[in-house]
Amino acid sequence: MENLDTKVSAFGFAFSAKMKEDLRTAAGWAQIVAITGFVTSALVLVTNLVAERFLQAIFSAVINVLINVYLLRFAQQTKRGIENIDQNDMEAGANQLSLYFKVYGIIMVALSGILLLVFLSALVYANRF
Amino acid sequence: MEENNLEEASFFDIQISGSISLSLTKAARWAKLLAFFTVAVTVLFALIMLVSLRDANRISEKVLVTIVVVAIAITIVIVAGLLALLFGFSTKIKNGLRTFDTALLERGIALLKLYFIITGIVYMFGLLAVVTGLVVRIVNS
Repeated sequence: MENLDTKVSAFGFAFSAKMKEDLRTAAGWAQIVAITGFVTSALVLVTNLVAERFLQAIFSAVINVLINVYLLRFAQQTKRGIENIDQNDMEAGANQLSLYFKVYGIIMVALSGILLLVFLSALVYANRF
Repeated sequence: MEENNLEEASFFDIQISGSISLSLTKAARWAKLLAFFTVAVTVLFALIMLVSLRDANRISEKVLVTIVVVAIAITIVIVAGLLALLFGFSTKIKNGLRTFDTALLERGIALLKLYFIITGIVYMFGLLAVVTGLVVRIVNS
């Protein structure tokens, strides 16, 4: 880690103007994704609660909030970092981006496991009847 | 003189520090895993839908199957586009950070931007669908 820092300073490896512009746009859209995700999950939560699908309501709400919280933090910290030329905010933003992909990835791994089980049981059920 | 100014500007600019480099590398690695398992989820979901609808006999059921197949095809196209962007982002960021190649990093971040733009548009359509569904349900009840 220290080695990398030294190397970086020695070569003056900084964010270019294009990178900052693209990151600012990415952060803006990430914020839209996160806020839209929160609104959608709130509406889905209400719909599921009204239909008395409590387990589905809780699961979808928790997953949506978990993913979008990291995305919103990435968006806010990165935008603040670029606007104020703040190294700490940029580092925190990059960390939130990695956490977003990590949490999203783990959820997708779990979901594909569940779907595989559902698919296998659907095949067994279809062949039995 | 101009070169000096550039160096000074980049010295005071936001640096791609060890911490940012490490976080971006991790993000790239997890993005690739996310892309791979999103393919798995999409394929499994499509298979489950097809298995549950394969015994459709009546005309109304056949129409339903056609609608589902078209919906699955559209979803696969959108997901494939997003995954191509994620794979591109992952590969370019990892290689760019390893070789200190600014051009590669720029392309990687541009792909991340495009990924969030398309995801944002898809999410807005999703929200619209949920709101429409709610309105229809309220009107019908």
